[in-house]
Amino acid sequence: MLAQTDEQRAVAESVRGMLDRQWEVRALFEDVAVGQAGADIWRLLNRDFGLAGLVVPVELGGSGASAVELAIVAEEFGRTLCPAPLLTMLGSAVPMLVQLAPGSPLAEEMLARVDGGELVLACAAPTDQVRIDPGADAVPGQAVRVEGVVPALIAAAGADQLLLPVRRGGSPPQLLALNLAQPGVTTIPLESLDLSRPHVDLRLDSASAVVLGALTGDLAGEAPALARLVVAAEAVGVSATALAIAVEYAKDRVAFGRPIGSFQAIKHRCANMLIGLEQARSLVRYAAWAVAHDPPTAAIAIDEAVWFANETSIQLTADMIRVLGGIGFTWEHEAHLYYRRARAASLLFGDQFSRQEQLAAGLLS
Amino acid sequence: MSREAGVPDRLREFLARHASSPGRDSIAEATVEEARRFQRALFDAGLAGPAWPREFGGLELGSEEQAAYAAELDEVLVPVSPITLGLTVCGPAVLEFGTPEQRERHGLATLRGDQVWCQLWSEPEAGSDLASLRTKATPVPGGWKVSGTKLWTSGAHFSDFGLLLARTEPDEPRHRGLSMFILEMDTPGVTVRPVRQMTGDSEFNEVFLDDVIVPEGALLGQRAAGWRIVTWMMGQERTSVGMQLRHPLMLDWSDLRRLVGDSGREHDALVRGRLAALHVRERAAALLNTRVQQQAAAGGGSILLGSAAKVAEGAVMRDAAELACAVMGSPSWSPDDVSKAISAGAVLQSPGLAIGGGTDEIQLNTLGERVLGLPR
Repeated sequence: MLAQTDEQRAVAESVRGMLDRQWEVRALFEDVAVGQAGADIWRLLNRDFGLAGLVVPVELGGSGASAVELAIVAEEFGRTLCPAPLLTMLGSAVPMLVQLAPGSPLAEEMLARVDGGELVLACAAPTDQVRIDPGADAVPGQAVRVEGVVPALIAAAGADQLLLPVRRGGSPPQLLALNLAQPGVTTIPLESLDLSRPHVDLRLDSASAVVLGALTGDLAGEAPALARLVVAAEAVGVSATALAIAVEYAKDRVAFGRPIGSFQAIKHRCANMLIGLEQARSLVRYAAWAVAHDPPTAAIAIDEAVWFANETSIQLTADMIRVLGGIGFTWEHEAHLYYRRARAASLLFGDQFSRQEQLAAGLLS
Repeated sequence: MSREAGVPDRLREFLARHASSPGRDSIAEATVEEARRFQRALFDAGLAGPAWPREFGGLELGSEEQAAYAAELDEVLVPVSPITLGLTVCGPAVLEFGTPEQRERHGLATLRGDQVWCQLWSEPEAGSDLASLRTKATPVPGGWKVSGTKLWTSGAHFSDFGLLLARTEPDEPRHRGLSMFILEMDTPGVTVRPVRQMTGDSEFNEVFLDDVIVPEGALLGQRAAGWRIVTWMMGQERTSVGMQLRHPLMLDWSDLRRLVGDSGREHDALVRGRLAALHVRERAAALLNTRVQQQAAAGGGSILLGSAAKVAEGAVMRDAAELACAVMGSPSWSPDDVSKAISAGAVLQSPGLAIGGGTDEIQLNTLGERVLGLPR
């Protein structure tokens, strides 16, 4: 369950090959519209690999792969900071549509268009900062108007529509779909730590939307399990690249007449990076396996994987810069792009302290 | 339970009767007698040796069943640590490199717990730099004459046999001149003297070899090919399924949680945070260890990652001991206060974790050079 099979290795290699053809991390230094670039890459990956339907059940037109394959793909995305919206699409949006499709022809239709690659979605966290008109008793399929603010949204640029869960007191949140290219939607760009993942605020002024249905279970919460698994797996990819950059530099850079990797301080730092990386990878593999094969243990396994993988990526990106020395501190070197991603990703669903307390509460209650 | 039930299920039932659930209630580790008895009972129940050849009493389980077997052992505390070496590395080395006579003599007997083993490798002047060892074995009619001193030999005081690494080629440098021998510990000239650790216990020993005569049949594998056996055994140690590598004095998370509870500090936010972090770190190191075993059983992956698991586990246990010590509240305790005794034992054993079985510094060198390819 923790050893990678040949098929899994093949999935990783083919995704890596496809990503390498479409994206290079240094593109973030050019004046590229990251969000739009990401959406374009998403469409290409969907055409070549059926990425959108990866974890969609076969009955709904997908390839029916499991969280194990999703984690493998996510790790590859993390390796190069690919801005294609894997996290929002496969972590949140697609699972939501899959949940609602049986009771909502509109959700089913949207899912088919997502599978076909023509629909790219952004997805917000459940909010109570948005008002629905005509109100909380709007029924699935009903056209409504919405008013309010959606803060700190990722993958909005380049997306066609937004999936917006709106809280209604104690009831399951109502999922709305709204077209992002309409007059009632104003995009306010934010400053972001992570250059590969821009954030925006959205202001909604009597924007038109349609009700898809009520979300239940894990998808009604702050951070869906699959989204957190994707973050953890991406963090492993970030960590893997940090180690690879450090090791390559340590082999090439000469000081005092020898490659600096021959000095124990550097060698041991790299070895400790490896120890962190392989543990994080093991936790993510277990969590993905548990989602697919042992659901009762999956929730805590994901919590553990997210905590450890995020902490590891923070440590390893800092270590990478230490090994690189002065050059690692420059804007021009891609090291800070990974460092930024590690920190930003660790703040997407709470922070290390809230996560730690959450883990403690679960363990010590 | 019917005999048709699979090995892991039968093992679970056996362990329910013979092993204790995790949760230490004393600081005493199992004695060698308890370990032998347990292993004999396991053998008699047809449950010993998940990866051991059937020819010598083992089960030769497939990799999936081995994983299930190992998972059952994760849940309990089995009293085998005194005889671990024979079961994980010495016995398998004899099976791997031995003559038919050696395999016949030692294979089944070791698995059954009849023969207990130690490793006579390190010396006062050769610890991390094992290849520089000086114990010499000189050819004499019918065998070899061995002289030298070994140090840090765990369990020598109760072992029946030892795997002895000695220099047989005085003109060959370092590891190229070493051979491995099977030494009967009661051979004349072998003197075992206990070495006391900072914990107060004496797990390991100094072993003096004064012109010890070993027969020709004691040579294991090829002459001057001892280092190959050493490397093999070091890899075997981490990928051996079914043995608990945690030192008996060290705490696992459930021990730690109980100690923190006993101390009344469970509601302290900083303590809670540490406990949560240690739980995840223990899980991470354990999963890496399992992964190394599964990869080895499936025939892939680097067994050198076992070093990564060892270093990680050691760090977690050290930090767990730190926390246990911190919540002791005072540096002294009454003799019947088991919690305090356990915490003290763990914190005194801690420094040994990064030193024994290959220092952390050497493990990091190995990972850096042989896994990452960094230059020496």
